[in-house]
Amino acid sequence: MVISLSACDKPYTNTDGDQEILKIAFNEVELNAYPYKIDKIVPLETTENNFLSDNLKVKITPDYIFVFDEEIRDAVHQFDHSGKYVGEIISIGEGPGKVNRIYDFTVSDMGVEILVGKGSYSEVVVVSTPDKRIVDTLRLDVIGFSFEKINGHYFVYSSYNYPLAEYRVSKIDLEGNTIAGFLKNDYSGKMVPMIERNFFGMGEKVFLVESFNNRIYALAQGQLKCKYILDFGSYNFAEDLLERDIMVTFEQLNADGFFSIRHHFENKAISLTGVHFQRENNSQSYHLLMDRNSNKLIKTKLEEGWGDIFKNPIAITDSDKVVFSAHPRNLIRNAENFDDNKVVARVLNKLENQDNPVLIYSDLQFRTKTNTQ
Amino acid sequence: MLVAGWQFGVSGTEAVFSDTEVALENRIAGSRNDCYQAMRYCDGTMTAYTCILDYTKWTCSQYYCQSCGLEAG
Repeated sequence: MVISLSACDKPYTNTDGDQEILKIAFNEVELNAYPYKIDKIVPLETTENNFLSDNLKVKITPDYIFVFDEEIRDAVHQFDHSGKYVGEIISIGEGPGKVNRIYDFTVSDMGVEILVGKGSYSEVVVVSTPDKRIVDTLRLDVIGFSFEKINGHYFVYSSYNYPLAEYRVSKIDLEGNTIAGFLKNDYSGKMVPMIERNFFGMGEKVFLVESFNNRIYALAQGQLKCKYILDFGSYNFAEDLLERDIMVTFEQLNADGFFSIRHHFENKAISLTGVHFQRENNSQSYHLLMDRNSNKLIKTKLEEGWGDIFKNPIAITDSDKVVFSAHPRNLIRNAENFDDNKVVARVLNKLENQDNPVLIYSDLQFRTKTNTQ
Repeated sequence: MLVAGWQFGVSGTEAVFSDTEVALENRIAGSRNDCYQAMRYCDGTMTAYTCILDYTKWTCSQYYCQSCGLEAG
């Protein structure tokens, strides 16, 4: 059954069995110039040994903020909610208490859990938060690049690793046994593993996106289920893409232009999807935003300048704040966009270009088409 | 041939792989003996590497491959 809604700013609803899938025609969504209003800024304290880029994976818990720099990939750091540095949870290196490659991390009731690359397999290393001590190590029978833990199971992403990985997503129990697979690698072409971050969100709201796929999946009731399909019209991937040699096909793809879904965050009220268009040496980032109560959609084009401040979303809080990590130099460079915002003015007085990133908590404005900072 | 959006890269500090790891990665990437095909996001741009020495390294290379032949791939 397909339900078509006439308004262009709302998604179509498809049903696949008992599963509702929203199909969104990306090009038809209304463009909103500036949907974010900065409400709070938390500068992450800079110390002699915790320099960070603005490409961060951040997990916000009731007590702490945990940060992993996806550029440097050398450690998981702990801050309190004022941004004061608490210390290093774990770092790469040789010897006791160190790991050799950090691919991803999450936070559970066990502590901070790290996905570690071991070459032919992966491990989950559990670090107790209070004393920063490794309390458990679990060998997985898959190679994983991104993971999340939900309801006592790990979901591990292994990418387009045929024939080594039968499934791109494996569900693994706490003993390390693979008990289910999703997104089967059953293509015959030579795909190359795309190492990227795939899981977004925490707790009951975890989503998966991947390269060369215009679907957004939700982890729900122990299953991976398609929740959204983004229709990019003439830029949709060819159906036989996975059957081709991607190293040959990518050249044409790059010449023609293509969209990638880069991240998806969602709570009960709102969702944010990062979409990136790439053609040759040019690229453009968009945010697709949904008011989930009304299903109203808007999108914003992240223009150079103010857009640099909002290009790295890291979470949506329970109080509907969209949180971004931004480098201080981007905030300082674009200060004129925030002349009337006292929150920004107060922080700018203390910030320096070389400081660690700030976390920007923003309200979403669905109906404003101009900057109302 | 160097095409826009493509790079030919290796990492600066190379990890030493066991024979098993190398064999597995050859299977994964279908690559030549001493380097591997890989894809990464580099400064936000999807980039295909025809020859990267350390397949497991996440970040983008600043260095050109010296041993695998720049024209290959």
